[in-house]
Amino acid sequence: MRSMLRRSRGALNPSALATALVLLAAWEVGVRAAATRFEFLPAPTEIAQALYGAIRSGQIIADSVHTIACALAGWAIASVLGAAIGLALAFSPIVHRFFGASLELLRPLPAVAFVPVAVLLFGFTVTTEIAVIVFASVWPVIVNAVAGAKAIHPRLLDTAATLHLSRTQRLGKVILPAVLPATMVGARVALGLALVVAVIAEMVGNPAGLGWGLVTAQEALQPGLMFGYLVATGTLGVLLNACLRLTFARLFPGIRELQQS
Amino acid sequence: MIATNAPAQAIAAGRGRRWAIHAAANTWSALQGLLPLIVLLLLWQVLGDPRSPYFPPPSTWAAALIDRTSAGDLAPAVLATFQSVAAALVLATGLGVGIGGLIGASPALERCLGPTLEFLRTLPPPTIVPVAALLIGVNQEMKLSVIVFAALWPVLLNTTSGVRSLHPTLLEVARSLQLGAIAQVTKIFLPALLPSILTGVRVAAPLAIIVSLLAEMLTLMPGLGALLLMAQRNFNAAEVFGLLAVVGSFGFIINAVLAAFESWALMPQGRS
Repeated sequence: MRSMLRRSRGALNPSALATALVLLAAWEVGVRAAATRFEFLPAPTEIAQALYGAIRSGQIIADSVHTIACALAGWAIASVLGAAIGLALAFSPIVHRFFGASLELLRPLPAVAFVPVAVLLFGFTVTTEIAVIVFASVWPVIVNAVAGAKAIHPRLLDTAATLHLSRTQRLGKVILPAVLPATMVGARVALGLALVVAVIAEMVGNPAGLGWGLVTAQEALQPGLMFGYLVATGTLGVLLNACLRLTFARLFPGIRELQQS
Repeated sequence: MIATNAPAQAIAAGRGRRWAIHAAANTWSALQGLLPLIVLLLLWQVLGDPRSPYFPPPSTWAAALIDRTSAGDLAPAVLATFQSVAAALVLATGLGVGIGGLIGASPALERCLGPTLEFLRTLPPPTIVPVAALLIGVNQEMKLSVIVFAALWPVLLNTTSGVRSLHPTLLEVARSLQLGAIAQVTKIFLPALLPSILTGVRVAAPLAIIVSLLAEMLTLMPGLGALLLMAQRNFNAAEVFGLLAVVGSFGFIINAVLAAFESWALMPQGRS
């Protein structure tokens, strides 16, 4: 599924650059010649100007920092929580029997629908935003941790038993290292989700950050600034994913799934 | 007649009994799995204060939902959300299969469009909602187009990779049978790509639901999202929890239906 992206990202080839430039130029010309029927569609140069202005004034930087900080905080909590829940589900038949179906029932709950509940409980605060992010991004970690634990070769566990390892030793020396790769793959999916959900929560819950900036620019009828926020959010997503990929590749050189885009 | 039927009946009865035992075991294990949730809700019901502004017990949720239903709000909202999600999924599947098929078949097209599509894909889908609201205005087309934009990428990417992993023999078969273009698409490509396409649709469905709800929340267009947001603004906690349950079952049912459709469509004997 990702092969197309990997190949096209590897090198920004001239033809791709040319296509993008032609599309942008057509957009610019179309708007200047007033050929489009959208009265609020800004030309790319207007967007660049608005974006530059918002960066100079520090507004968009502060918003980005807020969004990233919330996304990372929620993601960190979700990763630890998800790994713990996943291990408990995989290794304790009792936990699995009594909590499996309940969790399956909660999983498809759309994260947006959770925002009003969080707002009722925590008000229009950062807590609301982080709670929603944790709720949304914990699932891929759980699913992957369970899959990783199920895939542990029985011989590893037999070895642990033969060596008379204690419970904590078995967890630290055998299970965690074996489950880590799959959990990390889940955590990477979760980070993408965390960013998206952070923006959603800012739009309808916590009035701060990129999501709120986007909505206010729309309501103030500032299309240039609004598209500027859009570009900033998209770029942030690309950068975050790239950073994560490099960090994980450095930290866990053995996990092949993490090297891919 | 009777003699020949008796063993068959016995077998049928045996099978029936076995099936009943199996079903009972399944129900029991499902019930066990739901036990914590049921216990939690029961405790909430028993210990909760009906006047609590934050944690109203489940019976008040039901009452709030019944109020909404008798006010004539709930059913049209569910229907509006369902219609947008269903229509957008169909559109996104058509577009995604078309564009994805072309990109998968032509390396030149992929080289040109790849990075641009990649940037569009990484845009968080929710950010499109305010943009579309400003450009297109608050109407059905806007809602539909934002959901299509969100649901398009999984289908498109899966189709592209599906096309690329088609076995070369399939193409040779089409050529040696001298199939026409339409016959090639309907008899060779669509059946071969069906698994990838359906996987894409299943990934796209939850996204479509999320973006639909968000669009309704931000623009207050009729739908479950708008009801949920209004309930929150009125600090009607019971209604918020009730609607959350409705939204949850909405997502659950759509996912289950798609999963069932997928397993039916991919069953070898299901397609003649």
